[in-house]
Amino acid sequence: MVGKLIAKSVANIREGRMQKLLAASTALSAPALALEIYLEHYKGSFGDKWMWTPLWLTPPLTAAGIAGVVSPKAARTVLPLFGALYALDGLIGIYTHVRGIEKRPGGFHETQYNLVMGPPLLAPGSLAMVGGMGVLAGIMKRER
Amino acid sequence: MLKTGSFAMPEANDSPFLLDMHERGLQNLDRMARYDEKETVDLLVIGAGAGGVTLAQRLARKGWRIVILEKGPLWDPDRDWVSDEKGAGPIYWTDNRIIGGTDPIQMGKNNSGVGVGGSMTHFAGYVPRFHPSDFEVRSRDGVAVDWPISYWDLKASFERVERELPVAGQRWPWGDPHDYPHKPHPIAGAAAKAWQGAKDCGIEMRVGPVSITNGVFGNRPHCIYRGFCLQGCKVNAKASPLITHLPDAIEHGVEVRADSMAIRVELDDASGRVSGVTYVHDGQEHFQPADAVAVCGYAIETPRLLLNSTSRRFPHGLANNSDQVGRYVMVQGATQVAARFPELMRMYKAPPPEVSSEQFYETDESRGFARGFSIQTVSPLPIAWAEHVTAEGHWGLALREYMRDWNHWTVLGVLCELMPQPENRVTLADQKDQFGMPVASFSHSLCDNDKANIAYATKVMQEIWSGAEAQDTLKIDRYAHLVGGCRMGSTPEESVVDSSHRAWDVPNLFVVDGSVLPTEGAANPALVIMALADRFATLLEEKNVA
Amino acid sequence: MKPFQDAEHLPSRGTWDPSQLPRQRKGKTPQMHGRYPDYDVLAEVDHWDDVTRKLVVGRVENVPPYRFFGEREVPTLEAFCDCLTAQDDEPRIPVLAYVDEKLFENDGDGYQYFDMPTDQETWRTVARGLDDEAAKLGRDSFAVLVAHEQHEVVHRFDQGELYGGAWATFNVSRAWSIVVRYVCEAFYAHPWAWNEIGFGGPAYPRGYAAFGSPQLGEEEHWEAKEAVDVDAMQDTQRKGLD
Repeated sequence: MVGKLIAKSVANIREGRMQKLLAASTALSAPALALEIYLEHYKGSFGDKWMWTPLWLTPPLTAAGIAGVVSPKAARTVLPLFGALYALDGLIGIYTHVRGIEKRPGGFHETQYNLVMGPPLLAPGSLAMVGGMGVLAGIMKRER
Repeated sequence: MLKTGSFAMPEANDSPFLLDMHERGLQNLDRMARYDEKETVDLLVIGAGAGGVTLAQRLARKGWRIVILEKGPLWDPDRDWVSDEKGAGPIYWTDNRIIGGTDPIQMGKNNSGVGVGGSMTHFAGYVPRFHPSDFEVRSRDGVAVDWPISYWDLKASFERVERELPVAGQRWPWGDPHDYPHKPHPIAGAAAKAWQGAKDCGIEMRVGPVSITNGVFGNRPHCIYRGFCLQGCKVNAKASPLITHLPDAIEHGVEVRADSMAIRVELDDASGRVSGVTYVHDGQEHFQPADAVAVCGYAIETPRLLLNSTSRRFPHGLANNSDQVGRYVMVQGATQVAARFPELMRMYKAPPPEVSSEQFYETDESRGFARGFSIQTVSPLPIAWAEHVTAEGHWGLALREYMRDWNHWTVLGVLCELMPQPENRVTLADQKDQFGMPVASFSHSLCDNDKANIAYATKVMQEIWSGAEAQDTLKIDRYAHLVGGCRMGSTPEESVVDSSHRAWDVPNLFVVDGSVLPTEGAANPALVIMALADRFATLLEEKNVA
Repeated sequence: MKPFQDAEHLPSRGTWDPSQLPRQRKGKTPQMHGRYPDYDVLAEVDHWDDVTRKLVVGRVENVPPYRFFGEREVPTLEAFCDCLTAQDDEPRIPVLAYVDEKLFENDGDGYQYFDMPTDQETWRTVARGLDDEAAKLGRDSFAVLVAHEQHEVVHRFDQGELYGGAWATFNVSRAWSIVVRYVCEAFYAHPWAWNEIGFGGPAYPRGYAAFGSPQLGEEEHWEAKEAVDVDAMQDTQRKGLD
């Protein structure tokens, strides 16, 4: 039974039929990531309003991910839309984090200190990855 | 709960955005107004500290034309401040003062600031609120006096100022419980020791409250935990009015005249109103006329200036016909106990103010004295640490050995509420300063309630450290903060100003600083001074007190 | 076990002999002993802001000349400062030179006890009083007393037990607290003393990331590490230098 399911999944992946899988992964990973971001941004007292944006975008993306599992139409419309927004927010995040390090005393001259204590430089990349999964789901074939 | 950080930015104060991310000095000085000395300004403020700058910022936004006279320089932290304990000398008021009484109070770096920003440029950063009980100690505990205002008159001001500093800390369970706009800072190993020791004795501590950014705040960076709060913050992370209120004040037309020492508030004997202030700049006497004068020089300089401003109507000093000016000056009993541990504490790191407790703030009759104290962590740098060691009589080899051991130590301090006493007062000495003005003489003696409070608080600190299994302790008796001297009250016989900060008998003279406090609480005074200035500004808007 | 975990070396338990401490291998400490033999705060100057660097490095390199104290006072007070700070050997932090600078520039601390003269006058009187004590022992200056005699006089000063002559003109215990404050400020403002006690020194623009909180590490890679003395022979062998 389990063997069959795995075999079927592997076949689906081989054939590029991964829509439901990616939609489900997006729906599951976005809230986990948001929790992590909340805790990190909390430590920075949400000093910049942009620090709230990944948290605002998470509920719609999660909903779109669930919708994408249920409905092929949602998987091709709202899911890639919110996925793209999420990914874009991640790219903006990398920019703001670089700026955040630059703005610290000593900026990139005190590289080691400011990389440790400043905003994590590439962390917003994980938003781009999760959002990217949503976008990818829209492109993939649907599982049989 | 969501009203934190960027969603709790001040509503009517753009200061954090008028600063620069990389340059610490003020950015809008080229736009600062310059008033002619022949022009009568709406308000002349004396002293650019917590009271004066906050007041000026509020009223400038309402269109008042204001000049602030400040004895010291207008600091540029990049250029004028150093990351060095001894090199911080210029930010302390070090002109001579005579100290006496049975328990003389050391001045200078201990409690007195000079230059724009006042003492807040070198305060540790603790900004607890006063408790509701602080305003009614006579009714509740039968000691000292009640304030003519209540906590609830100041509550909105506390909240506004906390957003402007901004204050970082855990939810505060004592007094009137409340939250803070910035989250609690991470604490150092040394503070964690104190926390654990206290917990083992059944004493609750909380992180903060400190006016130090924990996250960006406009163009003010996040704190970098460098440990030099008492030497002037070169990061613009710790609040002082220089960066929290002055940028916005300048933007709205306030002129700060630095390096200008006010020597006399002039009275028009015919009308009984003050006409302006005589001050010394570059060795020359000047006179600035004003419709109203707000004296904001703190507990020593405000009484000194008023006492030096004599006239036919006020032969013993301005607003002093009831002999109240200069009386009831208070300091807090600030004994500290250091403790030694096997691990390295390295207390030069992280801000000196970290965790505190107000569990002993209120009166508990079983302790045998009225009112109480708060407990806070502090972190002396090497020169201050030497004071701890020499306080116990060590010198020579013993001094060097305790000093070498510094990194194994951590320190707790208390702030004991001491009672206002009429003989704890500022008077004028025979000695003159460089401006030809008599220097202040400050006499201070403890009463029995004070001694009992300090002794009890010291015992609690010793218990916390033995709870934490300290290997050795060192104790230093000292005092911190200064308030009172021109107290606010309900009758002209027992106070200098009324509940709206106006001097009895002088309709356009106000005192808006720490000297108006009738009692001192067991909280650090910076926040309450700013809150009083905020409330006073609101009063002026509402009914034009002048 | 890490060194100095127990507190047996503290003066409250007996007297520690500094000759048992490691010799400084990097940078300088007063008398070249300390707890952190491989730490030199002056190696970190590149991480300090310009204004601070100029001030602190200048403090070490440009020792101020004597301008306040006179020829007779200098040796007396130098010996007194050495006694207070247990500086019995080179290199010494020139404590009195910094005290002289502060007094000459009238850079006071902002207060004067009602029963004390100015700080300048206090210092001059102390110098006179110390020489008076030497005269009682038949010597010309406090500076020429032998170590244990100097120690004895300073001990009585600490106890407020010096009488007559110069000492009668002020409150002796207050005079002690004033001179001790000046001496400690001068000594512990000096980077050599920071090396000895393991202080991180100026910290701007580089601050601290590791400050011992539960989430963060305990020390920066560049910070002072405590060490007991190392046997010179074993050490050179270990490092392959033999």
